[in-house]
Amino acid sequence: MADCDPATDAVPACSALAAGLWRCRGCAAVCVPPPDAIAQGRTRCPRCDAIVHPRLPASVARSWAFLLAGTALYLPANLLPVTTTASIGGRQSDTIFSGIVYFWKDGSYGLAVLVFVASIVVPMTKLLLLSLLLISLQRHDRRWAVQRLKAWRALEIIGRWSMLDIFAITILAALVQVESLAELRPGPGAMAFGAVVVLTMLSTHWFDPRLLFDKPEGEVAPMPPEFTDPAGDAP
Amino acid sequence: MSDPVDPRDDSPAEAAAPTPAPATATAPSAADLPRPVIARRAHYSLWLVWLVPLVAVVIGVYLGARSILNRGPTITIYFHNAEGIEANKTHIKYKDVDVGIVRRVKLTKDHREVEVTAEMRGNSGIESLLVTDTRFWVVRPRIGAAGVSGLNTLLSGAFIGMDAGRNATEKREFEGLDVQPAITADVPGRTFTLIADDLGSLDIGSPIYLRRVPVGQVLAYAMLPDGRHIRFTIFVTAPYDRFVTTHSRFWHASGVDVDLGAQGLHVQTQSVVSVLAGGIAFQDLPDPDAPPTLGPPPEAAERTQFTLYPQMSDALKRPDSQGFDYRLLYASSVRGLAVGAPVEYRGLPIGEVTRIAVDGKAGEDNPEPKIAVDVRVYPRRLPTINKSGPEDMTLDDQRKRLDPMIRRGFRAQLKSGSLLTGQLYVSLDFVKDAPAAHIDWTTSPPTMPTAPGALDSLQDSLASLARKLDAIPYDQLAGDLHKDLADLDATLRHVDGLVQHLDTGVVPEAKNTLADARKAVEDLRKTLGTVDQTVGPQATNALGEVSKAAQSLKALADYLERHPESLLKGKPEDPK
Repeated sequence: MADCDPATDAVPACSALAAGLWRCRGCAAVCVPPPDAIAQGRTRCPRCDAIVHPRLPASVARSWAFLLAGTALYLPANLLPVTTTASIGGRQSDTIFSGIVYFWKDGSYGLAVLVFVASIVVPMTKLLLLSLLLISLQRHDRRWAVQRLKAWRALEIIGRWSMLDIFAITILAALVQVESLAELRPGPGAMAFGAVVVLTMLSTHWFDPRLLFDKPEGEVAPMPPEFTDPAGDAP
Repeated sequence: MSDPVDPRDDSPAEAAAPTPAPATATAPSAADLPRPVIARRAHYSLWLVWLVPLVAVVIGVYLGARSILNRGPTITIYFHNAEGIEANKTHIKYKDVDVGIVRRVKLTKDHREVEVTAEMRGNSGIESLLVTDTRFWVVRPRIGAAGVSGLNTLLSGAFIGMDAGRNATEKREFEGLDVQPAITADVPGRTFTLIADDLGSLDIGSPIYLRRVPVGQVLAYAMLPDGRHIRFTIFVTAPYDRFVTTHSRFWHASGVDVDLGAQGLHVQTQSVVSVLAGGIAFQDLPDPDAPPTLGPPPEAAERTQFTLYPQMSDALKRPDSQGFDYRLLYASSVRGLAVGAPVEYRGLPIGEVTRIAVDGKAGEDNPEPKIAVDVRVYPRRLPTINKSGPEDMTLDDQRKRLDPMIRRGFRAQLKSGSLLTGQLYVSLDFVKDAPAAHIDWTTSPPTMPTAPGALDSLQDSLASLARKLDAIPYDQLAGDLHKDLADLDATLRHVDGLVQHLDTGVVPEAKNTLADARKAVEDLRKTLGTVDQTVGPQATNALGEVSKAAQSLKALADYLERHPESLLKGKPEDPK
């Protein structure tokens, strides 16, 4: 069991893993893994039977996977129409940006800014921030660890609110169904946008913030190869 | 060991509490902590997580590709103005099916037209409809002779209508029409061309009538480059298009044709709509010379060109297969004769006046220029009994035929067609006792001898009367008159003597007679005075009575007028 020395650590705290302990993510119980625990199979929490890992397995890889998936869908989400309105005036398809332009031209500057921030700025910020976090993690950059942690927390809190657009569209699509007079349908962009939000939330979820504070390989307790990052984090 | 927690841990003490291992110390040592349960290992590969971005990329590419594929071709339409056209709002419709949307509206570089860029819907095979003769126009509410259309655009806003062409050559740039075409390309029928002298009251969309059945419309008209003719493009819908044959004649059925000619007042209309909006009528005019076994004349091919006659009578004239021009020289006034006036042979029309002009300039050798009336005669117009079929007539044939006729007094006369209008026509007939004459075949056209018309002969009679009056010897008459007057003077003197004799002899006796007469008259007056005295007063009384009676009647009438009921009920009692 490796010692943890607050004085030499970058952050004045030492991790459970460094102390030779595993912590259950479900009930926060701490347990001591047998030396060959990983090799024997899955380790479950003695209290709540949840699977216990020293760190989220393949956290960076999974986070990357979801992040890339989200990025791939970010383009269609913004380029394809999110709503298709059919009314007497004809059919009209709106993308997120054309809706913002419409609000702005209409004089609803507040609404335009709100939609712009919630639907374009926030998802993009999430994608960029998560990429930064993952890249810095892979480069073992341990500067600003606390600030990066705070950023990650902010991402986790904000994440769900990005669904605002989707909520608005679903509510409108349910409400605006006046036979032949007016009809509002979600477009393919809405689906892509929803997927982007969900994928970034998953990416945020699989990002293990404890990794921010782990010392580079070798200083940490030995980890079986299965738990190392298949993305090429480990040399 | 200090706090063995990561930054997220909240209560380290709780961690050990419920575990089966006894917790004896407040800060449990690692050995006291429970061990995780070892479960069976899950068999899944970590690389599966990379399926997520893979699927996402596939979906993203699919969505993008679909939207790009759905985009269809982009076309450019040039309009004169962009009334009602809005980017991303105005749709393009073909047969009321949405086939595209306007993406951009801007002025052309020379600022003369509006360039409308539209994106057609993909996967609809629209490319094959975007050909060289495809037409685009802006649908707006339209009220015309043919009815009201485009009312739905009042609510939905204008849209761009499209009419697919039939060509095979694809095209991406189009000139937009200003008005909606009357006939779309998918309507079966045939297009024809008409050449007319003027537009009349026709317009795009004016109806075409066949025996007063509307069978088509005017598609377009344009002035020919010479500036003297109008070319109409008309469309006759199936199945009526087969009635347009090579022998069809078209004429203006516009409005009311009031024809005030040698034949009197003639009013011709087609239908109420055509009276208001104008129209074109057509009808077959079969060749009278064609044998009846030939069957109906052949159908006219697409785009056949016809002449549009100003009126029905012009159109339905016999085929002017062969005409012969003659010149008629008149020394009298031709007032009332007009170009187009009929030339008749004993009442049968066989030609018309083509030109009226003065024959040469006045001068020494031509001190009294005559009026030259050029006529064109169509001998074939004369219906002939026992005809042996069409014959090709030459000027020589005419000469052989006409010379003997001229010898028998065949002359051209100007006659009044109608006393009401004073219009003249040229009558070809035999004139009795006409002075000998002959056709001058040397001139071009040949000059046919003329005879004075009805008015001319009247004038001639008047002239001869005047000549007779002129011949009276007024001087001698005056001398005789002078002598007569002297005789009269002597006679009067005799009369004077006679009167004096009367004065002395007869008058005194007459005076007595007059005195007697006066006496008799005075007697009569006395008698009448007696009558006056006796009858007069009584008559005055009687008249007074009649006057009173009339007053009573008037009072009664007044009362009855106020109280008509008193006729039934009687006069009510005086309330006093």
